[in-house]
Amino acid sequence: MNKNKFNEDVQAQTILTLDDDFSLIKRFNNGDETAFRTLVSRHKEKVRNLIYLTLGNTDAIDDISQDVFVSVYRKLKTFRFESQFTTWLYRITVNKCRDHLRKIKIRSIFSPFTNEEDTLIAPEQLPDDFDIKIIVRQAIAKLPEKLKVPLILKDFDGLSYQEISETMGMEIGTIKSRIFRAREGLKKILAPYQKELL
Amino acid sequence: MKMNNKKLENISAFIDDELNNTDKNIISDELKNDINLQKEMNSLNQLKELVNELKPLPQDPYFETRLFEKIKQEKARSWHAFFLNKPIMAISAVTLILMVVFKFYPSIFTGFIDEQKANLMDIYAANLRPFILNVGLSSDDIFNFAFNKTITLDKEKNQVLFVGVDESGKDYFEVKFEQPKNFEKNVNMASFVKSLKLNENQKKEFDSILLSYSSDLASQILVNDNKTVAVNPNILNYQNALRAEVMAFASRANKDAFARIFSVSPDLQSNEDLTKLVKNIKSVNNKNYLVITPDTIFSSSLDVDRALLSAEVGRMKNQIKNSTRELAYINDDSKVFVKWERENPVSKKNDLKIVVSEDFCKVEIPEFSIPEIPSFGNINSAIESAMSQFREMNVSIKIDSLGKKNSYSFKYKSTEKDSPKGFEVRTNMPDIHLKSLDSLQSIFKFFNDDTVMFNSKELRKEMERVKKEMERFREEMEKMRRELNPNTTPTKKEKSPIEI
Repeated sequence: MNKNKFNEDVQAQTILTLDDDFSLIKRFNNGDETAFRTLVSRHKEKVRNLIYLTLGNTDAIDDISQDVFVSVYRKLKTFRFESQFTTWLYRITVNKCRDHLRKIKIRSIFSPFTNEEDTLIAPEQLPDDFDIKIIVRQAIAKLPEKLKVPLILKDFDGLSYQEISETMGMEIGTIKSRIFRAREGLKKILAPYQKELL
Repeated sequence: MKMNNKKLENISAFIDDELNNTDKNIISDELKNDINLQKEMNSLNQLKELVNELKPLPQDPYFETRLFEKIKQEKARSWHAFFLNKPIMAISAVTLILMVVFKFYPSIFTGFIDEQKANLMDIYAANLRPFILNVGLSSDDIFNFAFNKTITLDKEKNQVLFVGVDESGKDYFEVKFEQPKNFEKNVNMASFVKSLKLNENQKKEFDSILLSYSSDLASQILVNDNKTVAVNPNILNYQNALRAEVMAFASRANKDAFARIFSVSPDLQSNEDLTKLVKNIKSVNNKNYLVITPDTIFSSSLDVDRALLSAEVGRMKNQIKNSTRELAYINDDSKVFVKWERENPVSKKNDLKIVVSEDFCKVEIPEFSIPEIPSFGNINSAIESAMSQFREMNVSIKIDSLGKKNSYSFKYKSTEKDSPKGFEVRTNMPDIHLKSLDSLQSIFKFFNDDTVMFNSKELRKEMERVKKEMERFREEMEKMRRELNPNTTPTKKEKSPIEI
């Protein structure tokens, strides 16, 4: 899917329904299960992509994204309408990703395992028809979780610093700093590929 | 370096359009003059675009299907986990559900209880048999039942059934263990026959009247090895009918003696009416028995095979008649005389009033039903009154001259419950010429050699005086006893019965 087309779709949905998220939540809290289906339909791709970019692989996307929406389903009655639904949704998603990464980290202590997807192909080994976007995604995956999440939320999802700080529960200054450091890290990782990136 | 980092951070924020106007202006100015800064900004911009242009994941058309299936499973699992982790919640929920169910469908609960009650009744009502097959029933026993309201259930254990009327006039049954000596004060058949001066033929007729009730009475009282006694309330009617028949016979057999004995003459019915009445009573087949067990009391429907029982009683009579032993009858356990009707086993009358005291437990059953027999109420009260008169006059007096003029001694024996028994009284009599029986008859009314009836008011007064003297004597004796044994514990204060 074309990224622009995806963004247009997302933006269109967002423009149409920013306030509607609240009304959908209210309907769901009043017993209308179909409202939850609409919420899922509207936000599932954002959640899936955030997980994908955060984890850097596709293995656990389905499990985690479903966990996210199951949590939302359980906790929606406690939603306080003080922030946007997406902010709340992303916070849940980020927490789920963190949990997953923590599990992987613990697991890797006992069985060291290198994910081939995380390994960048050397510039000289790149095939003629390679996709630079795969290199970028792999480079993002190599960033520490605390840096890549704000970067993805900013550059991929287009959230403001304020929204990111609410999502991650951090000060705006910290977010600003982390996004800069993420970009710096990404620049270093992608330095060997400058020629291909141009 | 730090300054550089701060500046670079601001450039990063600048391209994100997240700087305030002041910082934005500063950075804009610096960018105009600093080529390196411009390069850095371009580099960051390029990275930003690269990330922004990353391909989104292909959409998953089955994502929602799987999600909602998972939610469904989670829901089921969460309820399961909820109850597994919190047993108290599970118990509370089950209790609540049961309360609601029993509130709106009480028949489930009552049905269950009825079933359990029926099971319990199975145990208590098992092998019920007419009591007569265990103890036999002589004419003396039947007379005792009619006039002393007592019938022996177990001779070895002295267990008796007492059919009585309490102070408020209510009929009641009492199963108790009574020592035989306590019966001595009762009116017995021998004294009754003697008072009436019955000849041999009349005695046989009297015997036959009494024994004609044996089979019927047998069907009214059932016992078993579980110490259960089932009593048919209709037995009260049999008792009344028996008494009426006996009284009618007595008045017929010896009118004079009857008139002497019963100064209050019962309003007896004609022979035809009485026969009809007795027939009516015997025709009632009341299956509703009051079952008295060591643990509980309940009413239950029991079907007694009267034909089989009648034949068995006949066989028993013959065996006893042809034997010298007291109870030669051999009980045949294989015969089933009583069937318990389980279809309607449980009495719905639960409003029992129970009074518990130190030495008794009394159960009042408000809806205690005795089959109504018409036109019997009047005769019963008359008989009761007449029997009371009979007891008063049954006093044995032996007149013995002390050799002094107007001075006599006599021995007194009363059947009254609270009267002193067997004491000797010395009293001064009115001026009586002993040689003239007429003068004696002005005071006493003789029935035979040793039975008299008091007619004298003076003698009654004398008796009262003697009674008071006896009471004083008792008090003095008690006082003496206390003086001799001062450590004797005082009489325990009686506890009031507890009503449940």
